[in-house]
Order: sequence, then structure tokens, then C-alpha cells
Amino acid sequence: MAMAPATVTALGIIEEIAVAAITAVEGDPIGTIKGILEVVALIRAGFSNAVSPAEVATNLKTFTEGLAANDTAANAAAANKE
Amino acid sequence: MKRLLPVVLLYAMIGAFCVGLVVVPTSCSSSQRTDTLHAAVIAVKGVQDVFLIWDAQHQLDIVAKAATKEQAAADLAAYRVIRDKLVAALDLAYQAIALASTESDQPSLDAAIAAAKAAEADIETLMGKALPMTARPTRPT
Repeated sequence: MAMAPATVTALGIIEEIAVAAITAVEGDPIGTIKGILEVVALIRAGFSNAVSPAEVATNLKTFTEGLAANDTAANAAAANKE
Repeated sequence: MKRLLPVVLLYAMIGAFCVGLVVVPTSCSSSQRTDTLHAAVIAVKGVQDVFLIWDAQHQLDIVAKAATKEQAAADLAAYRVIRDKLVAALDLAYQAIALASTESDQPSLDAAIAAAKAAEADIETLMGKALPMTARPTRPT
């Protein structure tokens, strides 16, 4: 079963925190800060209201399908014209 | 000193994490850009929805006004040539918005908003009336 995006994001955050913690224990301050920044980036992405390519593609698909339906109806009306 | 290192690092990590959480919701320019682009998508979607309804009736009107079925077919074909340019403008607007959402520069944002407004203006011209849109995209200040 596919996981929800929020679950995937949460698991990613947990994974990054674990990596950051392990890095801290190993005594690598630069690696620790890098890991923390990656966690922040993940949280930022999770709260993002960004435009997704899927949303754009869906809108365009809806538009072209709507136009095609209009064309079909108009063509039928023209064909049936006396 | 070696025993204190993990504790110092832990505090540093917690401190940086808290700073990061504060920075996330207060990063205004990035958030404003995202909101602007999302509003642009909603506005363009609204334009296309209104246009689809108008297009259906307009094509039926073209057929009704034609004297023969041949003339109806010819008039529909002529109308669709004009309409195809608007479809291309709308497609361009969507692509520009999608591109701008992956960038952080001002030119891509300006281009996306301009493309959305151009598509809306083209469709308004064809329809011969202003679209009843409320969520018009605006450039962030």
C-alpha cells in the first residue's frame, strides 16, 4: 500500500534527525549542522504551498478534454443541421 | 573536554533546529512568491473554466447562425483556428508558472504573471467581455 506524502515526509525527517544525531556522536560539527539544515529543508518542503507539475498537468488535461467535448457537441449540431 | 563534546554538540543541534523552525515560517519572500504563483494557477484555472462554458455555447451559436451544415462546419473551423492561439497562450501561462515555482529569481516570476495576464486578456478579447475573476495574480511587493 502506498504511503501518504505526509507520512513519507515525516519518515524522511526522522531519518535525517537520526543521521544528524549519529553524526553528532561521531564528533563532526560540520556534518551535524549540514544534517540539521537538511531537516529544516525537509520541514520547509512539507509545509510548502508550491505549485506542483501534477496540478498544472491536471488543469491542462481538464481544459483540453473540455474543449474536445465542446467540439464534439458542436460538430454533432452542425451535422444534424437541416 | 572530550566528554563535554557530545553535550555541546547536542545543545548546538537543538539551538540550530530551533532557529531553523523560526526561519521556516518567517521566510516572507519565498512564501509570498509561492502564494503568488499558487494564486496565479487558481486564477488561470478560473479563466479556463469560464471559457469552457462560454466556448460550448459560442460553438452552438455559430452552428445556429449558419445557413447550411457546410457553412456551420467552415465557421466552426475558422473559430477554432483563433481559439487554438488562446489554448497555446493558456498552456504557456501554465508552463511559465510551473517553471517559476522551481526557481527563485524575479524574471521567472514576472514572466509567469505576465503570461497568466496575457492569456486572460486574450480570452477576454475573444469573449468580448471581462472575466468575472476575483483571484487575479499580483506581483509581490
